Parts: sequence; C-alpha cells; structure tokens
Amino acid sequence: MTMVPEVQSRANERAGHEISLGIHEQKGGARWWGPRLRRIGLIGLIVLSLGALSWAVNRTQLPPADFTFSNLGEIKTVDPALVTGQAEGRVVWAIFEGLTAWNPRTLEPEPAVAHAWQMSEDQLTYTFFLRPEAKWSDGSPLGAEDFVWSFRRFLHPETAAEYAPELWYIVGAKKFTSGKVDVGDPVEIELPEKPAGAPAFACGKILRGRLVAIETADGNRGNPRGNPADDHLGTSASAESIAIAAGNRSHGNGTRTSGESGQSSDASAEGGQSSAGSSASNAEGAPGSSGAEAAASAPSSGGEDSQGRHPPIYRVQIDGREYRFQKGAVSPGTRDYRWLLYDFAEVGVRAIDRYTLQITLRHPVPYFLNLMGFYPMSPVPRHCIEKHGYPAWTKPENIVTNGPFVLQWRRIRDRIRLVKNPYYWDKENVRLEVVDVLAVESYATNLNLYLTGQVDWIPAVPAEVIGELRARPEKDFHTYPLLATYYYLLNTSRPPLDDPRVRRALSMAIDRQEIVEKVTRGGQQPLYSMVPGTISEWIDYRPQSGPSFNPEEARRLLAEAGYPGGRQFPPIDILYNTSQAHQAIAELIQAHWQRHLGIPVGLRNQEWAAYLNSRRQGDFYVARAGWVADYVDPITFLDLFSGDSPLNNTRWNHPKYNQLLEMAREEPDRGRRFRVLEEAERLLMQELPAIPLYGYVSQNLVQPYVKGFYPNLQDYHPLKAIWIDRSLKAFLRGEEPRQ
Amino acid sequence: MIGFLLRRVGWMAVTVWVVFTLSFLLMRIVPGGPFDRERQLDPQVEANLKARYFLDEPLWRQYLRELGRVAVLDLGYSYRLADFRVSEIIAQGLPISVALGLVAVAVALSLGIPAGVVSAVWRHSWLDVSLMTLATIGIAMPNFVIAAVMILLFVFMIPLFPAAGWGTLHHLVLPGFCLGAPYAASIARLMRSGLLEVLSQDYIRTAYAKGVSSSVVVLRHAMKLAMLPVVSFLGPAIAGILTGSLVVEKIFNIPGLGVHFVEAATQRDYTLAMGLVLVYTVLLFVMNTIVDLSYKLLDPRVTLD
Repeated sequence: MTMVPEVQSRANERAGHEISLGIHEQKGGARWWGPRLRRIGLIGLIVLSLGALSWAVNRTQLPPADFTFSNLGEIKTVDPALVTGQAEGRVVWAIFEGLTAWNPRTLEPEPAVAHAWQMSEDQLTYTFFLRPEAKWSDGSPLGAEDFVWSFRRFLHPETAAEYAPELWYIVGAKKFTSGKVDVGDPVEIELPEKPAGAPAFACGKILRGRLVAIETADGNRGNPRGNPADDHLGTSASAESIAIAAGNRSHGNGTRTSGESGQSSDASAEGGQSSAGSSASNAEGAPGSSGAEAAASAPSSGGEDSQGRHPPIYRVQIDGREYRFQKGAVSPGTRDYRWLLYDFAEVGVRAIDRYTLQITLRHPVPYFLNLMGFYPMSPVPRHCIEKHGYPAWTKPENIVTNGPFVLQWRRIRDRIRLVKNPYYWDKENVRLEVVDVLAVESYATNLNLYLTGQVDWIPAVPAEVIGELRARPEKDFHTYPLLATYYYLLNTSRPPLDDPRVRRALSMAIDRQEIVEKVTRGGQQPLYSMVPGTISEWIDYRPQSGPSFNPEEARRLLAEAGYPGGRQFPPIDILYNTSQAHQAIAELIQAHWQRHLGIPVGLRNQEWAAYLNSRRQGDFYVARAGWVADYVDPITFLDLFSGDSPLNNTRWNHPKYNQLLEMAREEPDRGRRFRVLEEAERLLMQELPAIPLYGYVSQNLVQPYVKGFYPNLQDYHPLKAIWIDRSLKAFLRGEEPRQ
Repeated sequence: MIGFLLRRVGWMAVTVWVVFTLSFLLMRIVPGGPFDRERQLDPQVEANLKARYFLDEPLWRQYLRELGRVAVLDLGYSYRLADFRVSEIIAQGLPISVALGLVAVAVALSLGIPAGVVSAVWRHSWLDVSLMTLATIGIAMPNFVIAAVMILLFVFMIPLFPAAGWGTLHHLVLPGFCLGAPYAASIARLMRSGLLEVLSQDYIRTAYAKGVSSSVVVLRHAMKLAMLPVVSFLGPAIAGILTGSLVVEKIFNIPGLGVHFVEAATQRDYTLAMGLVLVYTVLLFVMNTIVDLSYKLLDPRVTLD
C-alpha cells in the first residue's frame, strides 16, 4: 500500500483548523470518510471491542469444585482405547471402571465391575462374574456383552489402539489385530452395508465363514479361478499378509462423525492400496522382492495397479455356499467388504451368559488381574458410540460412562469438570461431588496455584525448590520411589561398545550418588539393577545388581579391553532429548568418564521426536532412556531387552536371555517364575547393554486436608478414594466450615 | 475503496496459500512423526495409525488432500487432542486470545499514549526522563520476566489477583498488563518523538499564534498527525502481541491459542498446527488492513492504494 500525501505546500495552505479535519466539515462535499462517520466508526470500534471482551470473558463463574488438581497437561482423549499417558489415565480411571480395580494402598486387584472371579488350574482361563447393579451413567445395564464388544473394538485394527499388545495374551487376539488371515481360518467379514435399523455408526453387517482360498492378483482379468497359492509376490505368507493389509485398508475413518463420513470414505478409498502397501513393507522391515512391492503398491479405488493386477479375492465358505470377496469388488462375481479379519468368535473373550465373562489366555500371565484394572481395559458404551461415532461420543453432552464420576464440562487446556455418577454401583463410597482437573503444564504456574490455595494437589514440582518444599512445616510434600528406571542405553553394535568389558567399565566409572545428590535432588535412589529395588516390598522378587561404583576396577577392565588409560578410545557421545535435567546428568557423567577413565565423550541433544527416531534407528552410541512400569511385575522391564522386542534399541540379542524370558512366560508357579526372571536380570546386569542410573520418585504436593491419598509404586491415586476434611480445610483457610 | 478491499482479499488468499504450502513442507520435512513415544508402537499398530491419518501416502497426495480440505474450511481433527476438531479448538481458544490481545492493546495504548504526550509536552523535565527510562526498561525486559515480577508483587506480596486461570475480569488484569507493557513502552517513545516532530510544524505555530490554548493545540491539532507512527507500529505490535501471548498464556494458564500453538509444534500435531498457522495469517492480515484503513481516519491526505 502506498501512501500518497498531497504536496506539502498545498497542505500547508489549508492552515490551522482545516487540516484538523476531525472538527470541521470538509469543503467540497461529503466524502464517505467524513468526520461523522469517523466518529461513529471510532465509537463503534470501542463498543465492539468491549462487547467482544465481555463475551470472551466467561461471565458465568463456576462454583468452586470440592477437589481441584493439576493434571500437568491437556489429555489426548477420554476414549479408553486410544490413550497411553499418565494424565489420561487419571481421568479415564475416574470416569470408567474395568473388571477389577487397584487398591489405592496395596495396588492389589479388587472387585470392581466383576464382583468375583475364578481362575482355572492351568491359569489360562479366567471367569469373571459381573455385578448386575453396575450400570452406565444413563441408567442402561452393563453386562458381559459390553466387555466383549469393548475388547473387540480395542483389538480391532481400525481403532489402532496403542496398547493393543497388552491384550495379545488372549488367544487369537494378536491375529485379529494384525488383520492377517491364513487359508483355513475362520473369518469374519464386515460388509459395507449396515443391517436394517442399525444406529448411524454401527458396524456393517457381519458374515462369518471359513476362508477356503485366496486368489492373488495375477493380471488375469475376470478369471475366477486364479491360482490361490500363486507366488507372484514373494513368499506366500508375506504375500497373503501384504494382500490382507492392502485389502483390509478400510474406508479409513469410518467411525468418524457423520458429517464427515462421506468425505472420509472417498478420501480413504483413494488412498487405500498404495498406503497399505507401504505400511505393510514398513511392518516387514524391508521392501522384500520387487514383485511384492509392485503388487502391494496397488492402485487407488481398488482398481488396477501398475501391472494390471487386482486386489486379492477371498473365497469364503459361509453356511455351505462359497462367496468371493474383493476390496472394491472390481472383478466380476465378487462382493465388496470393509474388513476381513480372523473371526472374533475365535478370540478368547466370550460372554457365557448375561453377567459372566470368560477370557482364555495363551500362557499364564500372573499380573492379568492387575491388567484388567488398567485403564485402557475399561468397557465403553456400545449404544453411545454406535449412535454418535468417534469423537462425538466423547463430548460432555453425549458421553456415557460407568465409573465413579461423569464428565460434565470441558474446556480445552483449561479444565475438565467431573461430577459424581448417580448410577455408580458404589456411589455411597464416593465422597467427592465435583472435581476439577486442570490442564496446567508449567511447573512454576502449578506451584503458584497450589501456594495460593487454588489447587489441592500437584503431581510435579520444579526441581529447584524441592529443598524448600521438604522443609515446609505443613509437611505436604510427599515423595515415594516409583517403579520406574532412568538408564543409559548402549548401542552394542558399535565398537567399542560391543565389548562387555568396556560396558562394565563405563558403568563402574559413574558415581550415581553424586547424580542423585547434586543434580536430581529429589530423593531418588541410585540404581544398580534394571528393576528398581522397591519392588521387593510389594512382591517376592529380588532385583539383581550389577557392578557398583569402582573406578580402579573400571580402569583395569578398560585396559584389559585394549584401551589402557583411555588411550585410543574411539570417540563416543551421549544422546539425550532436550531438557535441562537430562543435560545436567549427561554433563556429570561425561565428567565422570573423563576423570576416572580418561576418555573424552561428546554430548548430543535432540528434540524429543528426533531423539526417538535416532534411538530407533541405532544412530547413537549412548542414549538416555526411561521406563515406567505398567504393572507391578519385573517382566515389564526385562522384556525391553529381549531379542525380538521392538523397544530394544540396544541391538543386544542374547539367546540365553531370550530363552530365560520364554521359560518365565510358560512357568505357572509364581515363585519359580520370579527365580527365572532373577536369573535373567543377573545375566542382563553382567552383560550391561544398558546402564541403570536411578529410580524415579513421585513428587506430590498435597494439601493437608486431602485424605485418602496414599503413596504407592505406580503413583496411582484414584479419585474414588479421595475425600476432603472440610473442618480442617476451613480451619487452615480461616473460613467458616461449609456444610 | 472497494477496489482496495478486494485487492486485499485477493492478496490474502495468495498469502494464505503460500503459508499453507510452506508450513506443510516444513512440518513433513522434520524427522519424527506425531505418534512418537518412548514406548514404541508395535509395527502393526503403527501401520494402522498411519493409515488412519493418511500419513503413509505419497507427499504430493497428502498435500492435495489437505489443500482440498482447507479450501472448504475443513481443518480436520487434531492428532494430539483427538476428541476435538481443529475448528472446535480454535473456536474455543480464539475468543480468549483475542480478548487477551484486546486488553493488552488497550493497556499499551492507554499507558503509552499519555506517557508519550506528557513526555513530549514537558520534555527534558524529570517526568520526561523517568518515563522514558521506564519505557526503556519495559522494552528491554522480556514479558515473562515482567510476568514473574508482577506475580511476585501482586499475587504473593499483595494478594490482589489470582495466580493463573481464566474466568473473570480479575484474571485478565495481570496477563493483559504483562503482554501490553513492552508495547506500551514502545508506543510511549514513538508518541513522544512523533509529537515532538509535529509540534514543530508551521500549522501548530499558527494555532498558537491564533491564541488557541496549549491543551487544545496538542490534543486536537497535533495528536492526529503525531499518532501516525504509533498507528504504523500497531501492525507489528498486534503481531507481537499475538505471538508473545504464547509465553504469557503459558505462565498464567490461559486457554487461548498461544498454548495450542506451542504444543502443536512440539507434538507434531500437523492438523492443529496448520489450522493455527492459517488462522494467525488471516488474523494478522486483517489487522494490518484495519490499521492501513485507519490511516485514512487520521490523515485524510492519505490515499489508499
């Protein structure tokens, strides 16, 4: 935009008041920007601003909640199938309830929706008896069928639940989620059409049958009798799985909101084959033969691919007749389908009758009852989800839940308001009426809110003030060691870290005591075993320690490995994600290694996602890591280092270790199982593909009038157990006690 | 006038498209994806997730798909806040950020302009010197330092305001002040220099010669022209307020767009980040156009082009 003021001299001619046009009428007729309009405009602008201001500022002041706490961030979703974080867990645990619930003091599984259960002799079959008085928050009954439907949804590939592997202990579950089918399997086929009278987001009609053959794409148009085991695509197993992945790429976000369904199904039909092809090759880890790629990178809209092949055709026998199914139904004589999966009726989750649920596992899982109380395993309301679809069903006006609280109101990145569920079976024992869950991220702001009495509990504090918080006369700062380990990964595929002596030397040269005293200062304990020592107070497992701090021995080992005094030690670096805390620890360890071993070590920091990438791709020497246990069992740590675990970034693959873990999995006796796991940990601590540093501690700041808050290994504090001592609260605040 | 506006709308469309393309490319180039966690996803689950969000498609296809949806104002669903559509998140956060911005602008103008006028009229007095020193401090101090000082003073020492949150006018005061203070400082200095320059002009001398009183000269005759530099500054100031609100919103836990912006970037929330970038672009463009239009209000010699 160019401003073109008139020539200066002419402006100066109109001296005095005429220049200031706000006052006098302009000579030469009214122009639209005359003074009156300007005045009106200005006033209008001010009025508009004030109006906007008052509209934006929420006039309705919410009545204060009974209990307010900070959740350290906005949660991703309240849908139990789609969450993995601790913050989400707190909310999901408040509004949903699973078969069992954890005791807030002992973390033992207690009856929740299931009032009793039985376990078979071989520990493979669990039978849960549900209580009939358990209901959804709209009054509708809750039964075993709800759990079957919820688990099916949880395991369904379309949901893409991140915690799905936790249910793969169940017979047939992994196959169901993977979408793979083999010839001869019982299969279920979801058709694009819904049954008559079904709600808007219900599944399509489901047919059940047996897979007789798979006709893979062979360029032969319209030929109904393709060669089922034809090996155009490389090995037949991978061919089928690629084919299935390609074929099963459904209409994507089919259960999204109704407003979008038309659009999303178009979009996804487009993207179907090629995307599935590349995703399948990612899953395989390598593209495989070029034939596999070409066939897998199939065309859009289920039409032809680059080489004129069609998506595979599945011949399924249903009720004695054979039908042919193909994605997109391009070939004549085939029917279209949305999903073709291993039949869920074969998966080990079954409703025996209305209030009895039976689950069959592949091998004994000692922590299975704990797992059933874990928040992703909560049941979800079928009638609500099928009516509104995801994510509309999670909105406060639609959502139906079965836990002690219901979701009343939600403002993003501000707060979530929960109120007591009037239909909860145990509502007499819920002593809070209204709970506010704040989404404040900044540790400093959290602390400010706590100190000014606006929140009653914060789960994290700035590290700098820990010392002062401990010294508070109110004694409201609670720390408790958690079942969580901070450790350093070593890339055992890169020399010199492939030599166990070097790894041991590195571990022995770290003074963990200095780390916890000078850097973290939160009362953490130095760890010499991968499983934190506190686990022994809860179960009969004794973590096995590796070598402790011993610089002379470290130097000797290093010399023995061929680097006396650190000479000629190749340069290595420590990778960590950008954070002051990690940097401080890395710098200290760098100093230790320099001082005690004489080896110079570099530091490398990356932003979180890039850092995870580097770790996964093995682009590191030493990398910082942390792991929080999901249940009180050592396998959650030890599994991290098994040879086939995708989480094993160390590339350490020890046959004896894998064998021990396998043995433990199959071992029915609890005590013997722990002994086997102890042996595995001993081996782990000898080989040291990872160096444990310290165990995390919980840091909770809780107002003294909050009762029912118990420290435990998993930092689990269910809202159901919490209550407020009102008289104490009033006393502390100098108020009149409210009734 | 209409032509001017139409041309502006056209330029806005072009700008939005360029911003969209650049943001799209930048977001995809950075390594790591929206589903990265310490706990790695099973490859099958990851494949399912990627397929659900179309992340496994070739880049150009994703681009066209996104462009098509943005063109019909469908910004999709947030990855991170999976329960919400991007438009819902923006609808919840935008009024709050705008309110905060308005308060900040109001603070900036109501503190800065009088300070500038006072400084200019009584130039070189102690009032002038102290006000300008204060202004320099205000410009130099980052707004989170100002926030920390304000919290210490007015939340803990003299408990007047709540530490954080949103809901009443009480909650607006501190954040609005912290956000607006640096700009008040700049405006004060601009006002002072602008007014000094205008006061030396011929027509002002004429007004004095005619016997017009000092206050009328300054307030009625000189102000409008002296305001021009301030108004020019308002454009970048509003931009700064909108972006500076990120820090203030985080400190005072105000559920506006700034927090969403930062979180979307760090969490690779593609859809939300894109939606916010576009909203900010449009907002800035509109504000700048309004500022340009207001030149006309102040100085009718100006012709808009």
